[in-house]
Amino acid sequence: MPNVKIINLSKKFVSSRGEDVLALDRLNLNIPDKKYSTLLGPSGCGKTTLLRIITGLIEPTRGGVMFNKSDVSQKLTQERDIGFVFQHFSIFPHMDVWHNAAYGPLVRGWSREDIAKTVKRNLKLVGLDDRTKALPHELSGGMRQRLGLARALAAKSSLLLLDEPLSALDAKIGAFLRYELRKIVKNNNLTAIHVTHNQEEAMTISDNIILMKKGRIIQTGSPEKLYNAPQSIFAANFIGKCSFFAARKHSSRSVDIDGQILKMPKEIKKDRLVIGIRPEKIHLEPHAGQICLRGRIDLINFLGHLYEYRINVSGNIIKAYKRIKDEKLSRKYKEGDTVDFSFFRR
Amino acid sequence: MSFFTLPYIVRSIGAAIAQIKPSYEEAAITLGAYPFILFRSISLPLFRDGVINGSILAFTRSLSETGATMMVAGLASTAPILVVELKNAGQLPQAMGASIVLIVGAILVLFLAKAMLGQKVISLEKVYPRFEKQLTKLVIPRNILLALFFIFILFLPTVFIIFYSIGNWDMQISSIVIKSMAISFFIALIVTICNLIFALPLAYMIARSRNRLGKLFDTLNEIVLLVPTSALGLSLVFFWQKFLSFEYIILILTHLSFSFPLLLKPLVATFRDIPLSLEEAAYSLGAKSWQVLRTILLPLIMPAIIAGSIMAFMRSLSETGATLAVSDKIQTIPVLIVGLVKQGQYSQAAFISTILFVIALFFLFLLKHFTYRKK
Repeated sequence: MPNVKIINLSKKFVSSRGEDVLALDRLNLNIPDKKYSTLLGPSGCGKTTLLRIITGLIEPTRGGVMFNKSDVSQKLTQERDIGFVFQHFSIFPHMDVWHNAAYGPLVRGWSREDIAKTVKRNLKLVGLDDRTKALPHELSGGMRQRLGLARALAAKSSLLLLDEPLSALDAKIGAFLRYELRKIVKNNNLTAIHVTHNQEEAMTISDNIILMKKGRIIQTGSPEKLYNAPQSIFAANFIGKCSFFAARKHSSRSVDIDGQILKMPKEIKKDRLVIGIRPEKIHLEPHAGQICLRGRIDLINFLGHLYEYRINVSGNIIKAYKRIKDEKLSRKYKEGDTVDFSFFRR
Repeated sequence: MSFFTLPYIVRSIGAAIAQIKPSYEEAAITLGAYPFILFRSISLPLFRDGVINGSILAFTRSLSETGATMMVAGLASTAPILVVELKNAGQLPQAMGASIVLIVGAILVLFLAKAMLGQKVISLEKVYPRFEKQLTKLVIPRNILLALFFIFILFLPTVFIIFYSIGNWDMQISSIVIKSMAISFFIALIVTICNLIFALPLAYMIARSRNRLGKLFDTLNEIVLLVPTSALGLSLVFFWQKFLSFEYIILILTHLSFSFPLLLKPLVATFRDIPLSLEEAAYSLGAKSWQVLRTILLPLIMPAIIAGSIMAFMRSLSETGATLAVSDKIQTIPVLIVGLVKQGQYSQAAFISTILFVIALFFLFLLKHFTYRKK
């Protein structure tokens, strides 16, 4: 039902030193209906501010927020009909599990039967239906965040906002809850906006990533699009691993990397350019006639499921991943060896 | 009466509210709670302990006040005044009886209130969304009412003494006044210093102890805080009379006992706020105990030391009931003012009050300066 539109939104804060800080800079954004969207970016990029403005907990300096073609900028948070999940859970410490989960419907004045039904359903959804009488301090962090989710869902809002919901949890519990979160959102046809600084979390959970930096939107799109076709060095670097090196134009179809000539798939327009390579796209055993670059192996890291090779090409460090099943390969190279490598086509 | 008791409640509630994470209230807002229902279902239950603590303080402060009551009420004599008058009339058994009633009453109130702490009382069963949404519109009348109360009950009457004093200028500083001032400040200073020496280690012990001993000291401390000062003074007179004959020492001991908790409380709270890991870090880096005290603990609790000292100092300076209960000869400033009012020398009393007021303002300024610098 709701599609969220951000129109020309700016937010200025006054810092403690009295300086103006532009947290959000003229944002325009369309967050699609019934999709799992993620606001991704380093800390201080304005993603939480944006989420809180959508919630109505902060007022924007300029611009507006639309839910489904109606302007909600003047509406109170209470009237926006949203579910919000907090980073530090914010489970009411003086209420038991049932009352926490029932709080939304209770304050909206639902009938007793409706409240009982929705609370039961949502507590079951998050696996807490046998702990209704427990007090928050008796629950583990993961359980508290499940309760936070059940509480946000209980009033049946179709827009779910999540402010770093997994970052206060243990890495393993967080990773597990990630899949449950996505499953619940998808099964209930909800629209989710999830704030995170964790690119792996954003990649695995979302349909749509909104990458932010310094109060601006850098790029939006599906995880695959952002990974495979980043439009900036920042995007390529922030999402997934990527090695960069500088090059000069050699001809319209090739570049010069400190004396080595590398063929390029596209026509080159600029004189100087930066080339980024994903580590898994590097092919360490090129066929004859396919040789592209030569370098020295500086370091071999064993990562369990992978070997990471750090290849030094005239001072530029290029990372390459090799799967562990290539046992021959792992014995074949040593640190200090010179290797030739090519690139897989994407 | 509400005049000097309100600050106690406001301070306690203010401290309690400051400890509630704002995200609890934000969570309730996102779940659709309007301000009134938010207040009664989230804010109020969470700072209820602060309300109760503040109420205890206000209640006992009112119960024990002697000086202000003596000046206002010519006829209605409250219990603390009764204690002082009975003692002065030489009816010691009756004075003692009245004191015992006061002390037992104060302890009873403490235990009743403590029993209320930590109990769960929330009623979300009855919710009237539409009505409670309407109540939100009452914010402006509420603010006006609060402002009026603040200005006309608390603030204006307090500073009125200055205008009165200017209107009836009587700048006689007789030798009696100077002597009173000297006595008051001397006692307050000695009391504050002695308190500090004992309060620091005790506060540390209470804050860091995991057993019941710390809790016991904490409760004992509160009882002393609750007992009406004139009853306390009388009690101390009877206790020390056998060993000491010098009234000044008994007076100092009395002032010590009722101002001690005022200093101890902020110290305990601040020690609790200092994570043990800071001390452990210092020890792991090779610091000796006294080095940890000097370089880690003392700098961190300095604001509390200063704030607590000022509170204790001012409390000693302004105490009437206990002083009267100990001696009818020693004239501290508050005793002198009460005496002047009784004799009808209003302009002279007003002048001395103004001086006292200016001193209090100065210390208040100091207090704010040191407590805010902490943040």
